[in-house]
Amino acid sequence: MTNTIHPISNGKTVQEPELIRRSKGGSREAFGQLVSRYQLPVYRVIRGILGSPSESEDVAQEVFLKAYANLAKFRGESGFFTWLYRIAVNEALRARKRRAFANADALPEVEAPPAAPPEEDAPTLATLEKLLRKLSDEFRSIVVLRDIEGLSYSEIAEALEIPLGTVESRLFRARQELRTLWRKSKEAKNAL
Amino acid sequence: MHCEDAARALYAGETPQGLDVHLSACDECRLLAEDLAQLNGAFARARAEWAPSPAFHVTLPLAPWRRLAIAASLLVIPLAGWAFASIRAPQPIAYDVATLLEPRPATEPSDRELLGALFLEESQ
Repeated sequence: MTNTIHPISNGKTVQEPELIRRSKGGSREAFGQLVSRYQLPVYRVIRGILGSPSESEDVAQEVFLKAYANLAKFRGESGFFTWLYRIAVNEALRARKRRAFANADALPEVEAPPAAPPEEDAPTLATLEKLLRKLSDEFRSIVVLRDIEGLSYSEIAEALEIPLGTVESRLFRARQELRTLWRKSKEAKNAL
Repeated sequence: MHCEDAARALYAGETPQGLDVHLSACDECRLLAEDLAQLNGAFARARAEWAPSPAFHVTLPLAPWRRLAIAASLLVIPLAGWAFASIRAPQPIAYDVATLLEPRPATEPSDRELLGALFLEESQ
């Protein structure tokens, strides 16, 4: 993914390392190209962890600002997108903790999801969000990176800064828990 | 294949040889496969539908040198305006010599002086 071609406004095409180099040199346009490429996956990762659409946009904004401010620290040892995902996961978890601290007493965790149609077999997105919220931070992050974003085990290891073996075992346990939650949810629905 | 191996393969998203045969014979593992497939369907929908609003736009801060340039230009504008105004200000260069040579009329008497003069006239 590091050699992806990007169009830029003057009609030429630039590869990602070049965009990163230009961004480091202060080119807002080059960084804007990186933003437009990654804003969707970054948003999805945050959304998967946080659940709230509007809050996810705010955190996505923070992620890109942080990436822009810390671009000099990116040395290219890992992929740019795994570096960006790392910031996204950390910022989303931080926002979640902030929210939990602020809303501990009164407010619900996220805005109410839209009314879900009756479920036939697969969980609706609202149900999926509910199931993901019940997972621990570690499990939710890894499920989002693997099952929604489709990162490889080694990319997840880079993004979360954990060993490859930990990725495998954590993902296994996370899926096990998610499946248990889904089964319970279905059984509860059937019991009604 | 045992249930444990089948479950491990299903959770890892793998399809080793013999899995299909095991699933066709084991209700519990088949149920697990179905549940995971349903969750995968939901993940795919999330991938397709979770997107920021069209109004979403990342606003980057200005580079420090640009901020300095803007601050400097904000300072330059009033200075330039002041300099321009001072150049364009009318200079009193044409003197009326006669006016200058003529004795200046005494300053107008104040109300108090006028009243005093009137009072004197009345009394005389």
